[in-house]
Amino acid sequence: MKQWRMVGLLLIITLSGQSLSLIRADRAKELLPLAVGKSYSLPSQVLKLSALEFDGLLSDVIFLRTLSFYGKTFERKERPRVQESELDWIYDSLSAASDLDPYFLDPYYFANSSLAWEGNRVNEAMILLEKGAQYREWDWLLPFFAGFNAYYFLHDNSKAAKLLEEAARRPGGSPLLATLSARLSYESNQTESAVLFLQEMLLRATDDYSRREYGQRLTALQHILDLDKAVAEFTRRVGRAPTSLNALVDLGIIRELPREPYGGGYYLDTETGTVRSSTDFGKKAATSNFWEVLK
Amino acid sequence: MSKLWAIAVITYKEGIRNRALYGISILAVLLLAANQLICSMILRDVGKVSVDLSLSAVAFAGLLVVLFVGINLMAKDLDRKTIYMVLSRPVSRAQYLVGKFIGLALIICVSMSLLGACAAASIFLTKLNYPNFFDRFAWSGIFTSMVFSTLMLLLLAALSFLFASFASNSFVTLVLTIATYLIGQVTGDVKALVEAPAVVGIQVSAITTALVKTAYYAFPNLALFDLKIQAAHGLPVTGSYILWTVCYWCFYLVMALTLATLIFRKREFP
Repeated sequence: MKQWRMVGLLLIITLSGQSLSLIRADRAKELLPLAVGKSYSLPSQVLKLSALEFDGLLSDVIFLRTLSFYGKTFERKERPRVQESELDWIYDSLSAASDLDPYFLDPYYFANSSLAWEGNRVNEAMILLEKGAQYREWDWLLPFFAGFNAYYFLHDNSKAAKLLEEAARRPGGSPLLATLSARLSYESNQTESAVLFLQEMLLRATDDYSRREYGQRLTALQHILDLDKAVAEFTRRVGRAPTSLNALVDLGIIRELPREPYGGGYYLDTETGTVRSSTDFGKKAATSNFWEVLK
Repeated sequence: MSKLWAIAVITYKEGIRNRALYGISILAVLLLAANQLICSMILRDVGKVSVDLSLSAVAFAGLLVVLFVGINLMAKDLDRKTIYMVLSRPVSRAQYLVGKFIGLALIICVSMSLLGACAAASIFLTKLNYPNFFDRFAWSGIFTSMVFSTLMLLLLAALSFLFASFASNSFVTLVLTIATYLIGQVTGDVKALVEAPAVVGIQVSAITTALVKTAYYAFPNLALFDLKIQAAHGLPVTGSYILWTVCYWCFYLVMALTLATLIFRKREFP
């Protein structure tokens, strides 16, 4: 009986000891110079050789590692949340994953949300999206994403129109794409086109992260669209442009200023006469900047 | 013929009783269960990842069967000197070797069918959970990929028999078989690399190129039998590819077994 108690005690001590040291070792590992997110990514040729017959599997593993690293950065408090060197690493990893299996959709899909939307690395995202569009020739989603980026981030309307045309030609591509492509071919209301784009993207998004990201941007753009119309109405009634958005409320054109989904607010850029988001759609820290703008 | 069949059946029974098979099956079932967990983390291409994981688990478990069950069957007979018992009977060495191979081939086919059924169940389950993410999915591709994996394992098993016919003990056979597997998987890629070194920015001497090309034809090209990515994305596999790969397999298999028989017939036992 005593022997059993000793063994039980020993087991409890070793079990808790190993769990505890695992947690500490895990934490210490993040401080190592070669932690995930900073380490060197192997060139894809080397990876391909070492993967043997498990190319697809290795591609999945690299993708999941990148995804989980990115997920962890959401726990950080500092801004920008992801360092430039980490964005390099994310790009290298996704590029390697897509080299191992160029037909795998997720690295491209994820590159779009992490690099283009969050990281301001639109050109890198475009390289991956265009590569994916070339291999996945049955898939309209990738040229559609690339088209949006070309239009919205790169302001390259002719390229966007071409990519959208390509997307519309592929099976399953929404008929809206052709309309959008036509709109882009001549200069029209940029915000309105972006709203149309985002409505389609929101419809196709399957993960919560993208849905939130697109949803927030869509809400903000719709607000800006409404405010733009209100500003035009103000100008029509008063005969001059308003000096601030509060004037719209004072005149009763709108009941109150909408709440910006990124925690900031909207203001009237008096130089260009356009309505803008104080956080530049969440890229800048919300509070302090907003009040500075209001002053 | 009856002697050949008798040896094959005995080998099959001996192999199926091997404890290692249970371990390998447990490993495969665990990997397939992990499939469900990992697929829940994938954003869109769930079907691809599910097929990838399942087929890789099957291929890996099958590889373990060849390396740890298959090699034991022939090489251990030599190690433990139980081969004397067989050869003292009216059985030719060629009959012994080919019979053993047929027995091992049966084991491989049966285990691959079982593993394949597990994999199919696992994919089916994922498909039930995420029906929207399987738009380019075809069972035929998965079946073809599994058949080709099995062919690859049979070829590797034949080569392990070739090595066992001259190697001094089972460990040497194991090492040689693993080396052949590794080389066989990369020889195509390495050949492509040395033929177009500028793509990756390396310089390759003429001797290296010649060596790699020789190795390319001497070692089996096992990567030919890897159709997992095609299966995962429902990509087409042409009839001529299947035809020529199967031809290659037949020629290589017969060559390996013939060589093994030749060497084995001349081998002197201490």
